[in-house]
Amino acid sequence: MSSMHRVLSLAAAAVILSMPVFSTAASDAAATPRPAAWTDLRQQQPITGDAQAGLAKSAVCAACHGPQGLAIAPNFPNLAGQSATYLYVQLKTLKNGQRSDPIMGGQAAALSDADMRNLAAYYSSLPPKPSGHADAVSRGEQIFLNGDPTRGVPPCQGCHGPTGQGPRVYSSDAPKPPWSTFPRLHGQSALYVTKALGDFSSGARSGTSNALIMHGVAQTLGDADIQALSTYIATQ
Amino acid sequence: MLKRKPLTALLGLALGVVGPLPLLAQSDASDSQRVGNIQFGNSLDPTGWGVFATPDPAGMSWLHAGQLRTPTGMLYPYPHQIPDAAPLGAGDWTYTGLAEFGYLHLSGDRNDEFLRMYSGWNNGAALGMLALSAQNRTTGQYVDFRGSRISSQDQYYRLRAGRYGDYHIEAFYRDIPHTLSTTAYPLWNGVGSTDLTLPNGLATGSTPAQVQAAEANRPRRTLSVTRQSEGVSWEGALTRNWIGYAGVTNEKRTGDRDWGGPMYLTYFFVAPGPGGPGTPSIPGTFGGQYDTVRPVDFTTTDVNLGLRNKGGASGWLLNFTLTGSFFRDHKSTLDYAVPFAVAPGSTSVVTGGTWSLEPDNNYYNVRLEASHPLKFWRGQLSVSAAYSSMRQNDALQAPLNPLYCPSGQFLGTTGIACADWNTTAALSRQDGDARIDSGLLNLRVDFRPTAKLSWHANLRQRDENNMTRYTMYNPLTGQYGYVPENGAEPIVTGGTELFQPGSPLYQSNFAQISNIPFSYDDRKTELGGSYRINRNNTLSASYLLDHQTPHPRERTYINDQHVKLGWDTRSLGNATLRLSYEYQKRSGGPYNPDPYLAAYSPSMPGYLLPAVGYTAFTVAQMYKYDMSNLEASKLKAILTKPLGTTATFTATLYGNRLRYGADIGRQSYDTTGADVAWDWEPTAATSMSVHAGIESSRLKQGNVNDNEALTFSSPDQADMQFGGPFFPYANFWTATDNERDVDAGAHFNHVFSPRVRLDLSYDYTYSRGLNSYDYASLAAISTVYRSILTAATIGNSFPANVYRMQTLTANLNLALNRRVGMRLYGKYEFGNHADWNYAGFNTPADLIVGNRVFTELGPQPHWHALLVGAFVTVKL
Repeated sequence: MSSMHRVLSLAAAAVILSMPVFSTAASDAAATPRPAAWTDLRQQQPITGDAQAGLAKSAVCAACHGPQGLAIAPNFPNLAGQSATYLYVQLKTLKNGQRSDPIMGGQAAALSDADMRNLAAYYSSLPPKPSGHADAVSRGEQIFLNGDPTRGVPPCQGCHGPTGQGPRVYSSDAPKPPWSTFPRLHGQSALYVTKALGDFSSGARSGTSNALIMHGVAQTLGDADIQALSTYIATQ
Repeated sequence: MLKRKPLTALLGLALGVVGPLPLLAQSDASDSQRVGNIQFGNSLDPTGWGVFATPDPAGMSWLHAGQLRTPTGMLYPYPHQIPDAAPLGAGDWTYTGLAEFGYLHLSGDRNDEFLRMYSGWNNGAALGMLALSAQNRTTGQYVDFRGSRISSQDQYYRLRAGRYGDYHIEAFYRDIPHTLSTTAYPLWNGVGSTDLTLPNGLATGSTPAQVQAAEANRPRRTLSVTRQSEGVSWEGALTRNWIGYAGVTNEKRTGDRDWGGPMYLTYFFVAPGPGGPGTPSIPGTFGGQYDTVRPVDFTTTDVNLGLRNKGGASGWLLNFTLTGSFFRDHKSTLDYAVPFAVAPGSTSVVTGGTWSLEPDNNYYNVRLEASHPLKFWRGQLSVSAAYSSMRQNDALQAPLNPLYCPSGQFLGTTGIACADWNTTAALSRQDGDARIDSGLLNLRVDFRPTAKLSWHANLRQRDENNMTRYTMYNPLTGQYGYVPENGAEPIVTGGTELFQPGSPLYQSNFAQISNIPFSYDDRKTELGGSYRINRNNTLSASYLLDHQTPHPRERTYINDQHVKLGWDTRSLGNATLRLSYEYQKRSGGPYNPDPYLAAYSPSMPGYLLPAVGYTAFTVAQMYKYDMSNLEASKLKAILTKPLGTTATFTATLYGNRLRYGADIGRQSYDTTGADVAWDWEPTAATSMSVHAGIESSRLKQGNVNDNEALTFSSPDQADMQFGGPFFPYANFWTATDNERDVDAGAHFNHVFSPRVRLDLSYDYTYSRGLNSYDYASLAAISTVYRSILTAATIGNSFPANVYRMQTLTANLNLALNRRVGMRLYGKYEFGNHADWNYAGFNTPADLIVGNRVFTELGPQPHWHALLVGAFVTVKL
């Protein structure tokens, strides 16, 4: 028995000591049987950038998104005060084709990684659109704050914050969501929100792990829900 | 894609499926198959889904990386990748399919008993897996087929189809091998049939040397049983709230296995053998003892029918089930001719014996389960009631077989005529007419008055009534009792097992005259609850009173009380510690060591007590372990410690201490064990685990040899008291069974690249059993052995029994392209085995020991075997 225990102990020790080799090999090989059709944001860290350099690059952007990051028309999103990491990820996926947009695809194609970080940092630093007066007893408010458990609709505030101004981070021992990648929604136009939810639902926008979450969420929403939510968010 | 469609369609047609399915699911245990066979797998792939078990790097959530943990701290495993589905036709159906086929080669000790115990390994082609799945995402319909074949005795096929939320049907066929011995050398011809005959040259009255010469030339056989089963089941929504289900399975067991063959008086040693003290003389006289081989030819058909309500407006949840199980034995007898005469030189005519094998029998059960929420304290009421009946009414067989005890002959010089016992006219009735009914009622309430407090109360009443009554009365002779051991015993003892009122020869015999219809009533009352003190600590406690009234038994009632205490805490950092303690105390009514007299001749009118009385049934202080007093303590601690975010350490320590209130009978039973395990899953591509466990147990019992000098010769033979003349203290002995079991293993799985996956496993199992004994004096040894044994040869233990097995398993999966891959499989198994019951059995001739005939040499002392396989995997 004792000799067997020694053999076992040695064998276990040998295998354990060799694990770092295997572990490195695993990470090198990426261990993904299929090429990823989406960008995994689950371990995305908050990005940094040079806002001043971003300002210098923003002239073209301002044509649609406004000089202060507030869109000139409702079919464009407001960028002012948006999460820098979210903006960076959008530019990156627009550039690599995982997010498809006829205009933005071309705009992002010319940007370097540093450009994208700088632009994201710049728009993030701008003051967001002032809060509005959303209807506190509307169907949109109901869905945004409480969801609809009977139909599997989760509350939007879980990731986007109770006022749509970003997630409310909590501490936990469990694996954490990539808070910095979740966009701020408040004040986005109803037209833009409706289109975004439609794209998520149809799968047209599915190039990130976050988009895959939104695919499941948007599919639980009916047209009336989307309209109510869009109106509510636009007036937040 | 176009190339795949015709192949899939062809397979679908061949399998009788309209369109193929999807569900290459991770688990098979959760479905509506309600009659067994819920897990399909074999030695090549015990899980049955190994080829699909590729962890998905996407993990369990898009929301966060890494795996969450269970409430007690264990990591959830990575979910498996869902195979890519392809469109099937122009509609909404998609399908996946996979075939894995190849060749297996076994070398080394190919016939080792342990290697083949539950595996039908063969050199040749094997189907690792054939899986086809199709589903319609629009309608929710699905079809799924899965099959695997190692050999004709080791295979399974299963077809499932249905529509989610609507209905589910399933059909399966499977063969499972069970090898019992690979070193059997049965003496008889006709193994596998109901008639075992002696080989040429042997007849009743042969000498041990003659039998040994015949046995030396017997061929080796493998004794095994194959379980062939098939079944169908259905479950479907009848209305919005009512679900119906039905299933029928049929299992046929065929083969042969070791069996017995008594022929009375195997041992009678009058002097040490040629090896001196401690070796038997082995006279080879009298009928002997036989290790025969019996046929197995059973069918069990299980039928299941039920209705379930998932909660209508009334709020009741209901489940109503009817179950029937029908066992049929297609070979109801076993005849065996014997080579040794029952009594040398006598007029014995007994030349063989007959077994009555298992009778056909039926089991019926009706069960209703219901639960309803209560309007206060967030309560729940649960009720279940069941009634079952077990019945058999096979034709009874004659006590003796005319083949071996022909009419016109007599059993030795007893005067017992074969003709009086070799027909069913010797029985008091012709059929078994056996029946045991039982009823069950369980009432339970659960309450959770606050978020922190929950409690429950449970009342369970189960009554079992054995209605079988049989009197052993022979109307041909007017005698009660029977002629044991095929008539061999009366030849030696003179028929003392028969009782007959008014007959000077039989009126004072102590004989069993009827069956003993064991029955019992059992009421369990339990009260328990748990309280969460704070976020990290929960206490629980329960009390259970188990009140049993068995009859006829040594005590009229038994009270078994259990107190359980539990503490779950997370106050030790992020570790979870679960502690539980149980105290058990059993007591009961006064102990009557002989409550069965009604089944014996002294209870009969006309019984005449002999001058010396009758032999004590047992010693008065002998407490049967299920009837004796008991004090038990059971302690268990389970620690679960997360190591970072990707590893977990678990340790379990437990100990049970049982003290029975008896010197004679079971005295104590202690168990101590520990398990440790380390699991690590840093990514979906890598996982590793190491575990080790040890358990030791010690079972101690005491007994007293009766003073054989007084048997049938002194009134003291009736004295039941320990310490009296018939059971003196000097005859006391104890036996201790020490067991130690160790298991350990290491498992490693890694995806080196999308094309290369390796699984490695090492498993170790060790078991050691030692039976030791002690005795007050040599008087504790039976007089049959006393003449050939001394204290030195007796010693204090039997040799240790040891079983050790080590297995190395490797699986290397190589993807050649998106559709075709290879699987290389290797398994090296080695071990050693020692069992003193087989000591000295090296060749078939060794199996004849005096007048004892054994059949198998036993498992190999050392074995090793290498199994390799190469498979091609094709995604259809």
